[in-house]
Amino acid sequence: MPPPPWPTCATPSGPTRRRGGGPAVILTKLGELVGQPEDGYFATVLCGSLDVDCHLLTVASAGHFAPLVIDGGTARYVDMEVGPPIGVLPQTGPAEVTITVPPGAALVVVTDGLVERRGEHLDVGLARLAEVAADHRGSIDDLLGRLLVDLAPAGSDDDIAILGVQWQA
Amino acid sequence: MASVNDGSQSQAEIRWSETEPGHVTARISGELDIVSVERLQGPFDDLLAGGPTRIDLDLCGLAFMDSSGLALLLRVANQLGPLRVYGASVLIQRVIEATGLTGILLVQDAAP
Repeated sequence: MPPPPWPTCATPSGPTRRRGGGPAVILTKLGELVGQPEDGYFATVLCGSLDVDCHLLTVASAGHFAPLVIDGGTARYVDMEVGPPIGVLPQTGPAEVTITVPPGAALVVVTDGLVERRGEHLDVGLARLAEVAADHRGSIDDLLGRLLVDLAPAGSDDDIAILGVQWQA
Repeated sequence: MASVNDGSQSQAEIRWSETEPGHVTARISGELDIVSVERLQGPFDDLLAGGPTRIDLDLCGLAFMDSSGLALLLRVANQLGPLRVYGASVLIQRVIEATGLTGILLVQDAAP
């Protein structure tokens, strides 16, 4: 495998090297701490750890959509397993995955309020988000603004959260 | 049985019957969102007050479910353990799968 076209790091901080454990361990501990509320309330959580020098993202999901990786006119969701949300037992401990994020690439994470529509398959909404993101040229700030304008359903009472992270080369 | 109709707002309904002692099949239809779920809390209290040992869900008439709807179903699962879910459309199945709940809301192929 050829070396990546950016400065590499000598000691990647893999999950086992991190004090206290990586995202999967954090989510499992959080799930055990919260337990199982009687009212059925739960929270979906995406927990990620960035190794900035090594361009690595390690991520685990408790019921949340995978992050979207936007790079050079393409956008794809991280292929990852989704564990049960926080507040639901048993906490099976979601699997974590580590991916390489090239310089200049961006990560976007959203809640269902942005992509979910009545009468529509969830994957259609997720594909719509990926399409708008892949088409975008400009700063991450502009992208987040555009996602809200282009995708937020009119008159929806669901909340929307969007997180964007971009590598500055 | 309970029915919710807020005019322009979403509607949802739950009906249930005891198929054998302690074993209830609950049919939820309409749209489960933050508005309709709030109005179904009372009927769900009534359902659980009967002390069922097993509740199967029939969702064949359910057109939409958001996270509020999932919370309503999880309230039951937290009390009784994983629930068998019948008749869920591919849209509803995808919501269950995307939320990592396939081990708690057990989607069944067959009829209840």
